[in-house]
Amino acid sequence: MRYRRLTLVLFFLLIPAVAVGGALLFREKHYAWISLCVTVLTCLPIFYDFERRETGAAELMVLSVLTSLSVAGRFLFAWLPGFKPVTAITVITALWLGAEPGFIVGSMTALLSNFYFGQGPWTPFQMFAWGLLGGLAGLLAKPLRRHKLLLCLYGIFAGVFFSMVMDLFSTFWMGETFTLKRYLALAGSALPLTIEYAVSNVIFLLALTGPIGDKLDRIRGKYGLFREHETDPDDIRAFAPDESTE
Amino acid sequence: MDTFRRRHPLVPLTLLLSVLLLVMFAQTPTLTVSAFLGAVLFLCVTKTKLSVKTVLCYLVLWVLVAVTNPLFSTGGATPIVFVNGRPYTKEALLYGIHLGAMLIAVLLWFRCDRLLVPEENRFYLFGGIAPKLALLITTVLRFVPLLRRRAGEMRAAQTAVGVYDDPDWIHRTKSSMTTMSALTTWSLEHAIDAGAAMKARGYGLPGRTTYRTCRFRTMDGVCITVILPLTAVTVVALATGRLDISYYPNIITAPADTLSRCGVTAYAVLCLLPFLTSVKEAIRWSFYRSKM
Amino acid sequence: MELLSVENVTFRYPNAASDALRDVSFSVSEGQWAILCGLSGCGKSTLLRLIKRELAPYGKFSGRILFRQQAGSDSFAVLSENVSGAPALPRVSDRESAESIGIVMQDPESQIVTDTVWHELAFGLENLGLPSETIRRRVAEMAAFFGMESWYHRKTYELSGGQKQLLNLASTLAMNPRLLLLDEPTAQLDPIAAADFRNVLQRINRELGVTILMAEHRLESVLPLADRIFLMDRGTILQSGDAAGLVKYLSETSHAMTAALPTATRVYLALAGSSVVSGETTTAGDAAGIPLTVRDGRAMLRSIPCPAGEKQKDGEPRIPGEETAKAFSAKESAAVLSSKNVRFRYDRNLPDVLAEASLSLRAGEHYCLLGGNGSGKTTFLAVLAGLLKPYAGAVHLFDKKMSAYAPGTLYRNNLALLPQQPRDVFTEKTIREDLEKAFLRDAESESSNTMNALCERLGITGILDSHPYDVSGGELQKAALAKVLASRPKVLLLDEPTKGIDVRGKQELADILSELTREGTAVLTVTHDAEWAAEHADRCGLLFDGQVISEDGPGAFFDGNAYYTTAANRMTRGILPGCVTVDDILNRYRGEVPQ
Repeated sequence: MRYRRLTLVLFFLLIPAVAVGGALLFREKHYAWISLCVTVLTCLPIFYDFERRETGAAELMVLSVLTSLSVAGRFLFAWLPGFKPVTAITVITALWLGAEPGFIVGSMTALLSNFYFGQGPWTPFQMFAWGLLGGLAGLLAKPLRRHKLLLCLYGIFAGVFFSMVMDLFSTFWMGETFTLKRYLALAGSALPLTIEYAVSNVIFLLALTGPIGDKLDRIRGKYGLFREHETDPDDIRAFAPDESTE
Repeated sequence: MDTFRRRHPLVPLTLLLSVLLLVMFAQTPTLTVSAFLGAVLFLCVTKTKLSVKTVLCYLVLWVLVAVTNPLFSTGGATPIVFVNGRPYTKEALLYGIHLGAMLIAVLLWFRCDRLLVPEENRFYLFGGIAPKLALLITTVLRFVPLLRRRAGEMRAAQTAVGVYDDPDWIHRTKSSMTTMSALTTWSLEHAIDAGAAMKARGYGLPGRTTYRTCRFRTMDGVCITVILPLTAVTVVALATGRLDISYYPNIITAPADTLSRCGVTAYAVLCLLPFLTSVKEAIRWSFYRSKM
Repeated sequence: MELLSVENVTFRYPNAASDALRDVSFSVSEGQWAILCGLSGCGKSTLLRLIKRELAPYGKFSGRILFRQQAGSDSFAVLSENVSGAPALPRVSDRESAESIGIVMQDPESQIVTDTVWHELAFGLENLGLPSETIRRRVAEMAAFFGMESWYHRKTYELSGGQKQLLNLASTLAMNPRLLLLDEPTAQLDPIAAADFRNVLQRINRELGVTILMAEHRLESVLPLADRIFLMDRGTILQSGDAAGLVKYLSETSHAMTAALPTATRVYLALAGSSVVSGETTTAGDAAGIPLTVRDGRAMLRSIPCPAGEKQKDGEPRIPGEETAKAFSAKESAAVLSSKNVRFRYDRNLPDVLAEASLSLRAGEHYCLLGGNGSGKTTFLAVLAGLLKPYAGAVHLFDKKMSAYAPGTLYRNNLALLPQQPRDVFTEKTIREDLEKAFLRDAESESSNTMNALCERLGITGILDSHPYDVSGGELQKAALAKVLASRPKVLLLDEPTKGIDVRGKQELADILSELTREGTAVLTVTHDAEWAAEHADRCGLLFDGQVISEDGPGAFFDGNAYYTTAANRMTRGILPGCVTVDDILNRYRGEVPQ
């Protein structure tokens, strides 16, 4: 235990120190360097908290299965490039189970799906982007669960946000310094992809929120999991798949 | 052939981090060339086949980065042509070529990573720092192939009872969604069973340990004491500005002196380590075999 | 000395109308191999889960479950209790419970946690907080004991079902349990893997002295191994004692589990009381007198007079007359589904799974295709169902090439497949929704009537509003069959339909299928279950090395095989030629046995 705490303290002191030191050392590339440090620094406290917290066996497996579903989903829809359920599953996890599980599922999906699709310097940025989208959805869970429209908007936002982060990453790595012009050019060329992300997010959210939410409710009811993150049954009603309104 | 694979995972990790971070953030062409050559030679000596598509992708990326850089950076002093009245400079083009080479080198090193660390040790270091995440990762690595197989089975099962009719893409998307939904039900139920199996085997008892399969041996320490000083020399050379290069308006490199030469050599040795050890192993093997 | 003692346990699930367990008391002694037998739903799984405290279901519990913490200690400790006025005993600690009581459940897949074999073996030991050195030693020991060195570094998802279940057993055993609970551990395995698994269990029991408590509904192979058997029915223990006691009880009460007894025992029971084996029946209750294995059965048959007109000599295999007739009549009708020289492989670089596989299925017949594990049975079924395309040869349905069917016509009123995992056909929240969707697709006014009639016929009206994952295996299978039949197929393909189903379920399935064949539906079943095929098939075939070899009526088919055959056939080989089922044997003694 003491050993683990020591490593973490080291991490928390080391990374900011490295960030500052690196920025001084790699003068031209300091944008890229700092952005890398920021992504790592964002993930660490959440991972640390996850480590520290007690998680039951079934809860851990549910998180694992959701992550796996979102990785496997990348394969299942591989015949439609760019059409990925990752964001949707991350957001749904966050809505039903909370911000931290959302972050974990999002970031772990990035890490592990790249294990199949190819790791690269983009991995920390994807972990950061998907993790943050999950975490944010968890914080906005109440309104997002109530209104379908808001959820769709969040899907669009998520698509744009993800694209923005990845373009930012590309800009940092493909030029000596950050130039707005280069960023805009990249974002412009990636526009079709951004639109596809946004559209697929909305489609997946509309198609999967009801079914997956139902199932998460079902196992929560049947086995008493994730009790600390209660959802108001009224919130979920909006997603019952086309139940006749009587 | 697999000197690094046999080492404690900390050794290849240290090497990879040193090589990657230095090449990514330093701007020095000599370092980039070392990294590039180190990766290529290692991939050659381990007979790793890259698909034509991958190689083409790399080349296109390189050209793209090189050619587009001058469009955004106009800092150079030697214009080649004018595009829309803006100079397209030699310096910016050279910088772009360097940048492209650096990206390719990084991508190649990520390929080497697969060879340096055996698959089962990929997440080994996680186990020490973050045991729960490590457990999560190992379960996901088990679930993903399982879910892919089950998705196929479910799709077939539902097709054969006539759930899916038309082969057009709307139907296909819809049916993929149905499969996804059925897969979710199955996998969450499966998660509960797996959770029960974990509890049955004592998960949740206080004081869980992590089974460390790799032992840190003297040789691992030796390797690290080789890697770290080499890294340190390069870092010092970089920090003192001996390896600086500025591209704009004219390309000016810092004058070479002992320290800068040391820095470059140290980094080159670092990059060539996987290649050199592989060659050494190969020679030793053939020598050993010839004596048999 | 007793290791486990269950005292007056009553249990009721929340919202359940009746108790799942009612006043159950029994005990298991150290080193014993005890069996809890009973039909599906009798409460044996619930009981095991209550004993394995970590898995105890939610609900109302009363009674006491005691466990002897240290071998040889003279006092019990409490695993769970809810009684008033009992003397206070120490509680078994969580660590002790996790370590000393191991459990292996039915589904090999769902008990694996990690991605590699070595990590799986180490997982429980990590949970116990053992240092790496100790884990290394124990894991090595287990791998050696189970002979799994060659697959020690494999990925868990690459293993076969039998290997997965062995891995589950090994990783449980690595924790050094003193009591091993097994919940139908071989139900999902093929016969060869199941036999391997039982052999390992026997070694664990005999060589390591681990006490075993096993829930099982198929007694054919485990009854001879058991020291003590508890017969459960609707939440109570009806009978406890040795094998002879169980046989005596079952025969006296003609309980449904009689059909699950070993073949030799069933023959013995049918012949007992008649003049044939009168010499032994007087001592019923004495284990020596009751045959439990094929060997005992042969000895019994040798010791009794041969039925009239039968020479007790190895003769030509005889095919029972009525069976030839059936096979002949099937030959008359035209083939509805046929494959000719079909070749299939999953990848260009992989070997052929099917090599020149030919088969023809005729209207109104029930064809059983048997074959070892990995012989490509399921692949063949997928090819026949048009799910996979062969790279050579062709599959014809009603004289029309599979590929000639327009999308959406093949699986309507023509052909349907019931998959190995019946839950795979369900996509909705309740069985009713799923069935309605399937039936309403035809957009016929009377479809809801048809649906109700079918549900009535299959006996599933009571479970229609349940979630597909909340009903028992047998019920789920019938519900899946209903969904499959919704498209009114003329050809029905079934993949391992008897896997994990108890004797009663198997009989019900056979009844439904024979009704369908009588109406003219052609049924093709792929199965490992030789006994079931021998009793219910019109024709049998063996898939081996990618081809269908030896195709015949069940009598001739099984009689022609020396090893891949039924227990009844093995028991009568060279004594009563041509018998493949218990009924065949009894028919020979007809006239001498009171009907």
